Amino acid sequence: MHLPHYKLTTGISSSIFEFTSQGPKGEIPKIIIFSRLPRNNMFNLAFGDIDLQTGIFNDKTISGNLDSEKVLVTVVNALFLFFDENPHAIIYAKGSTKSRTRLYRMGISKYIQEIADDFQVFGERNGLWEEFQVNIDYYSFVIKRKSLKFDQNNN
Amino acid sequence: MEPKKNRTLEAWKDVTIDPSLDRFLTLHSPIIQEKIKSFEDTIKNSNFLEVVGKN
Repeated sequence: MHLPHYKLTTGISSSIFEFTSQGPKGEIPKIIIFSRLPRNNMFNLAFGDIDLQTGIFNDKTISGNLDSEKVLVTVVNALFLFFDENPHAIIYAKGSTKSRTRLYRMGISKYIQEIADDFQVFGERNGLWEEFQVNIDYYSFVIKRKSLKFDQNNN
Repeated sequence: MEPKKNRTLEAWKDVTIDPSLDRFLTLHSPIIQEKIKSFEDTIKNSNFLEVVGKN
């Protein structure tokens, strides 16, 4: 995605991406972690601030670094990179707070046209899942490549 | 742990590799455990398999 974004660093596993937010509050290390869930090919997306010295991860903070758009594009880029290495992955994302969930919804809404050719996005509201629709408040999200079947029997 | 090979996106050329980052994969486990529980509840008590599984 050729929009302004932060440069990513990843580990050998490519399950973790780090970047540094820059703004009026200074430099704030951010981390995106894709963790395998106990279901076939399903991964949880976790995103938040990290203290690189202590490893303390916080997915509830609001940085206030006035760069939310750039951060959002960076997270989407990391998502694409993860799918590149894990084409059969199904990503589950749930915001740790209402504002974080709203950030995810805004990000998906903004880029839904770009990703719709290759990916399917689902949203959960009131305990039910449906294909993602813009401007609806969802509780959590799932993104997967099109035509990818979820095997419920293979954990 | 071996690096994966199937990197097709041009965007990978701008990504730095730092093996030390992988140490954080285990540090966030309490948060992930919470997410796993939430996800499992979602699977059990909704139409997830019908909607996501069939598409």
